[in-house]
Amino acid sequence: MNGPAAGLELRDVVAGYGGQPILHSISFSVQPGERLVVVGPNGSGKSTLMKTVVGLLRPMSGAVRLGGADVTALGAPARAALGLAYIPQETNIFRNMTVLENLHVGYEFVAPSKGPTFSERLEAVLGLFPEIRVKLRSTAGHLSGGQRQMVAMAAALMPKPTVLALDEPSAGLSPRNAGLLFEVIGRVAASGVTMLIVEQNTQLGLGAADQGIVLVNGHVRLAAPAMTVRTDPEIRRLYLGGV
Amino acid sequence: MGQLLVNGIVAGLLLALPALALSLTFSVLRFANYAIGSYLTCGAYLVYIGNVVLGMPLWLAAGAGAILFAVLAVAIDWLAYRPLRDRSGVTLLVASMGVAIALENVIRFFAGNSPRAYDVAVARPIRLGDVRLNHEQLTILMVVIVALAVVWIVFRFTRLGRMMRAVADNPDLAAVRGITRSRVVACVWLISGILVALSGVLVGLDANIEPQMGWTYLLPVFTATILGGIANPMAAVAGALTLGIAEEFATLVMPVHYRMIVTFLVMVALLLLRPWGLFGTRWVTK
Repeated sequence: MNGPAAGLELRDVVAGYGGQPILHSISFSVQPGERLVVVGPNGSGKSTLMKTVVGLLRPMSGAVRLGGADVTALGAPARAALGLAYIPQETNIFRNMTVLENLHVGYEFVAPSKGPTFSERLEAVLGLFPEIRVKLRSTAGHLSGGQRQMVAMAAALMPKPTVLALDEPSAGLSPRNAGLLFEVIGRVAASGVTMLIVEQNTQLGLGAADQGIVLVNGHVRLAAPAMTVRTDPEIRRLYLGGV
Repeated sequence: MGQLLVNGIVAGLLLALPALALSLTFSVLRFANYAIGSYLTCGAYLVYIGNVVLGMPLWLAAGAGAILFAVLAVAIDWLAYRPLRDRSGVTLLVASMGVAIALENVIRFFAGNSPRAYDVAVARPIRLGDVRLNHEQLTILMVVIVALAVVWIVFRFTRLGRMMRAVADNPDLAAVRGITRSRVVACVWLISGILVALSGVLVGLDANIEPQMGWTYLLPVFTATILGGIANPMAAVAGALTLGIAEEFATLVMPVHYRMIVTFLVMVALLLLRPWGLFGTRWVTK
């Protein structure tokens, strides 16, 4: 970690719960420094995909590669140590800890001992999220939805990850806050982090991405540059329920 | 009045360590360890071996016994609870009942049923005005306060403390933040093992060492823990103090040997009215 952005690749991944596959032979790759957004209707397997990528769920077959190394057999803590940061949907902060403690926990178990110190990273991250500087001593669970997302992003960025995985960042946010959050995502992406974003808000998500993937019933239905996916008639059909 | 308050505080502090241990394991492992009573007994007997059989001074025997028992608690976790980790809290609760029965009978097998006592000098109680404080009570007071302070500092200000609080708060998020759960679980058993074994020694000083000693404390410890809000370790201490003082003051209106009724009443009232505990609302869950 701390090196240049790393790529992420899935090869023929089959994953699910209790022996029942939800993802069927998923393959895609995100190039270093690129932003890839996965869209798809409810129940298409987006969250399962995210859990498989970050190591909370072991695939039944297939391989997950991070920066060229096969990480399929590694659990979530080991993948985090290799520079993969994950922001889950909604419950993505430690609610009973202060904002500062959240940032501390984000840093201390993952960051390499030779890398930048905690205070250096804290300043860098607060530069990206000036809104939370005044909230450092507050209990994270008492913040508003938008502020919580900021804290979650900030905590994930503390160890200076090479790949950032975001699960439905706009979920539960007002349109205004969702817009603000995607602005921040743009700022973070500009710093050279590889991003994998799962998003229900297709316009917002695809607008912030280089590549897009449409996931339907656990299959990749379409993989193309984000602009192409955004204007594809297939998207309208899937979301508006036409034939 | 002053005497009752002092007795109540000491009784409450006696409950505080096992209540803290119970709540600590609950907050990280999400199951109520019913074997906590037998753990207390087991710790007391291990220290008895060091103190009486091997002739060590009590403080040395207590230290060695507590560490030995902490290792034993980790071993019990590996043997009995680890294979069931993904099951529901009820399954684990039943497993812990099995552990309780097994431990108690192992103790009976080796040590027999007769009560024993530690090798300590008998001393005159200390008088402060009209309040009497005997040496056992003073020991309880000091040991518990020091132990609580140490646990509080570990919890608030150390890497290990943040690890434990993170796993208790959100285990999946803790995993993706690089925290290995099995390591935290082992640490939690070590700490709660030390706390329970120490409380076993204190109970043994206060009364006798016998195979049933932990059972007597099981109900009050659970009540104190729920009183504080079971998932909130430091509030369990407040729950223990409240219960200890309430039990002691109840002797003003009822015979001493009915004290246990107070515990039952508090438990019943709590489960009906505030099952999340007196201080439970401070734990943010949404």
